[in-house]
Amino acid sequence: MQCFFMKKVALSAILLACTYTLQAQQPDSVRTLREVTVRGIPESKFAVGAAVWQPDSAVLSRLASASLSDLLMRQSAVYMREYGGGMLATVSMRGTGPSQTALLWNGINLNLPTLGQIDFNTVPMATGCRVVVQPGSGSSLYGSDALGGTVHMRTDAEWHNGLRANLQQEFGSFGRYFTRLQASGGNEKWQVQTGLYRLQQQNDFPFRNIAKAGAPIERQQNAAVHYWGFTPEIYFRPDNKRQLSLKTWYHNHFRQVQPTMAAQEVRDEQRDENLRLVADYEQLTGKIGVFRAKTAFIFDEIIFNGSRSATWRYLAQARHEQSWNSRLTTEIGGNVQHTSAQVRAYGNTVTEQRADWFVLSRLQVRPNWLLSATVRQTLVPRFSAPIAPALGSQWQHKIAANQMLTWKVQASKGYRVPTLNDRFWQPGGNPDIRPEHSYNAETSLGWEHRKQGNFLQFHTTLFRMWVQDWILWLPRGSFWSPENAREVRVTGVEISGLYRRLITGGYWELRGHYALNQSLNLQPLNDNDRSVGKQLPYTPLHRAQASSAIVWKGWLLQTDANYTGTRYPTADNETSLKPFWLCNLMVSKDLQLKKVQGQVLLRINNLLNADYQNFQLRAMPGRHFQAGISVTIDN
Amino acid sequence: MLTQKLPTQKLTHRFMLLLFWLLLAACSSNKDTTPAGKYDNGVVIINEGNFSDSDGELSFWNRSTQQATQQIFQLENQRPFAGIIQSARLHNNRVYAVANRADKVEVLEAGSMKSVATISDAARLINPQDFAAVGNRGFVSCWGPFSPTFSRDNPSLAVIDLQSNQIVNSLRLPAFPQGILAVNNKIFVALAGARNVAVVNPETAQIEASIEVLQSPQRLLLDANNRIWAVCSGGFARINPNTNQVEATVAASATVRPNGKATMNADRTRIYFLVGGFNTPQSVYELPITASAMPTTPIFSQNNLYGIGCDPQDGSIWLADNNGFQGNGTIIHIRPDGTRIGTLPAGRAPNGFLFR
Repeated sequence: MQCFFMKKVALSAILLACTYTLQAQQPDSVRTLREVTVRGIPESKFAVGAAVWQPDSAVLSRLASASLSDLLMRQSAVYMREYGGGMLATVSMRGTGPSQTALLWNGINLNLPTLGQIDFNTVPMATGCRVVVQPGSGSSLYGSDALGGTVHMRTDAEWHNGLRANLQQEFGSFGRYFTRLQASGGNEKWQVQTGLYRLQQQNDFPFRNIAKAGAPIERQQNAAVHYWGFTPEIYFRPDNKRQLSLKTWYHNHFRQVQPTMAAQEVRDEQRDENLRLVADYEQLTGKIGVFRAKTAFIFDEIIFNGSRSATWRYLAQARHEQSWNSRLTTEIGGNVQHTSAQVRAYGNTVTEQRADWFVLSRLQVRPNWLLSATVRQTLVPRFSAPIAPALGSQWQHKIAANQMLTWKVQASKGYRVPTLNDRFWQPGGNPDIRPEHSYNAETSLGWEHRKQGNFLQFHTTLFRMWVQDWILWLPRGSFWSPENAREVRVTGVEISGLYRRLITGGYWELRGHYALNQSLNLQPLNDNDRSVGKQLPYTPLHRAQASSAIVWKGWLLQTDANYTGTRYPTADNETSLKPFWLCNLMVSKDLQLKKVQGQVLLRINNLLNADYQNFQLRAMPGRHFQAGISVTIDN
Repeated sequence: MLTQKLPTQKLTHRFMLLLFWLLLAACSSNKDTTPAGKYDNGVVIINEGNFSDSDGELSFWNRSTQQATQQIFQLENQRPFAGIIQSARLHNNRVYAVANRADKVEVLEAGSMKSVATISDAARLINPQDFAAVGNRGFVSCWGPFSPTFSRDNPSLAVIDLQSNQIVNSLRLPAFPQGILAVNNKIFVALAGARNVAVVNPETAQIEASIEVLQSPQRLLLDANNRIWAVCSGGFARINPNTNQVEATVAASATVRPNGKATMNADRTRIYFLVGGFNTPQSVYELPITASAMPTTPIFSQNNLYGIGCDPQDGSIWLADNNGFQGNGTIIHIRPDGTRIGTLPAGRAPNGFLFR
């Protein structure tokens, strides 16, 4: 048991090490694929100067029934605009909107080609993906949409011999049931792993209906959620120099759309269906290179009140990374993508071809000084092709034997290609719409201190970003049409801290995150517009999070509190929604019965029973409970 | 003022007669003891709200202080209005604010803006649009539920007992309605989904007549000669409410098509109306009630005009600018010749006015 937790500690430490320290190249003679391919995002070695956040793995593994939206609200300073409990949740990073963050699953952008965004509540953590958040402009590495940030979800082979299976069952307040089965097995060459998950939630939580006289307590109507999915994956490595993998993610998500408090009689419903397939091939080439190829198919369908929109995407990518010597690494690559869309409002089937090319480089100037220069361009017929370069620098200095200072600087450009809706929606679609683009400059200072396994770390990032040609849909006579109407300047600060102390039989960890995002509109829409110099709608100036976790002799006790500052429903900031605090508590205990590992778990969400609205007039659940049991067999 | 609104038709039940006198007495005594209210001298601005947020509200511009106050419903009732306000009408010293997305009619004391009742009915008040009343009977035009393709296949006219504030009847309409108007103790309903204006008997709640006007009638206005003007997408039609006949029409021209937002001027001899188009500003035109052809030049143009009203006290025109639904709106105050008097801030998506 202790061994298990020490492994977690070690794993966390390794992940941190990968993220925050510079690594010298391996000697060529003993190169294997596993050593070259860091467990992480292949491009991240070129993300020099960028801030990175990832959740604690012990906490993440116990939030399998949560969504990506829940995870980010609870564990980070990222803000989610949530239209009710378990409802549409869109991300706002660094003061930008939902279309300005790219969600990448194994390197594939999951933002819907129609809407340009994705609902983070339809992304369950039950897939077992690892999550890495990179705030700030990442278009030079990841392409379109990565203006405010990039959220990576990745799965990798957990190579082991024999069979391993895990069954998890949870019960919760308001008719919530969650089941997950995971199994994996393999030998030295083959690895097969799969997951199957299902959640149903009646979601009829009581709330104080402030929209009615006397604010009566009512039960939420029409907010049930029901989803299931599976994630089979196959990995094959014939030798130490090649690996082939096929990853699948099918997700089926039904929900009743929670109405506003005022309109409890409204009965909207939505079904989402997603099928994502990606095949990856990696090969060491000669003594100095790695070749990677990827092909993917993504199907997305939304049926809202019987009205269907569906898209099919086919993508192929090839990239080659080369280490010229112990100091210079470069990568070149490109991808092509074909999209076809069937949306009633487009009339006919619409297709789009896109191609991207990129050149990435990184230079170890000195053992403690790293530079990167990267560029990426997306070519879309009929568009002036947006191009995004970035320059980064990372410098480390050992203050004392156990203290390290890191200073990062980055300047980058970001872009977002307009969505299919922006271009083809009838009426109103604007074929002449231009891509959005941003200029981003940031600098960060990190300090870390290690002493006998204890660890203390602080990071502060200052940034400023200018977004131009921001696309807004505006009413034009009898219908709406997108325009490059807005210009925005975001100034911000991100502070994070981590303290970890080893105790006999485990560790204690404290984490804190704070984000200030002053996101100001610079461009009036017309003479009577009062929004110039005002904060963008639903973009809190302050977000903060603090959590404590104790892992000790099979126990885990985790509490977190997060604060969301005032949000303005309108661009002129004339009305506002109150700030809110949310606290959550989680306890789990590991058990061992011969070869069977078990775990029992209890969560109390919204511990202080806060009565709050994240989005105007959308009720949110008060204090509620979730209890679960998990059984693992390892052969 | 109540007596003039009393129904003239025979009351067959003694009980009903008794009830009426009781009500009359109740109303009169109320009126005597109520001093001039906070909101009796000024302009109520109706802010529709944003559809997905249900955040309609009312603003008030005070004539004596010349100051605007926002969110007066929240201010006086300590709760958000919570609905998309389609219209607000004054009747017997009460404001009837008709909203969808909460499907309801908020009944407010006009002087204090305190809510007296919230009328709702999940079966008979769905997507309500406009209100008119004869005596103690209120009528609300309703689109009914949307079909999956957003067509309005089950429109209705809800009948409200204004004493109990309960819905007492509902009449199926042949096409979806928009504006309604009470004239000569009859209810006229603009059937925007057709080319007709329905005439409803308030006693029997039955359609007595159907008057063919022009394409898609939206709003009904009463002129100085007691004639009803149906503001239609296809132009204007003048109805004689005594004969239920169309006396004259002014067809829309290729460039000047009324979008349904319209008002009479102070002496009810001219119609001011809005015309909107794609990628062009909305424009204000005026049509004298004696005209036989559409006007060709606007008196004012600007983007995002969403509502129009005329102050009967000074004849000035109030225009509502919705600011593209991106933020709160603005009221533009102009003279009848189109020159600007000034602007004042409003709430979200202002769409109309109540002049007090």
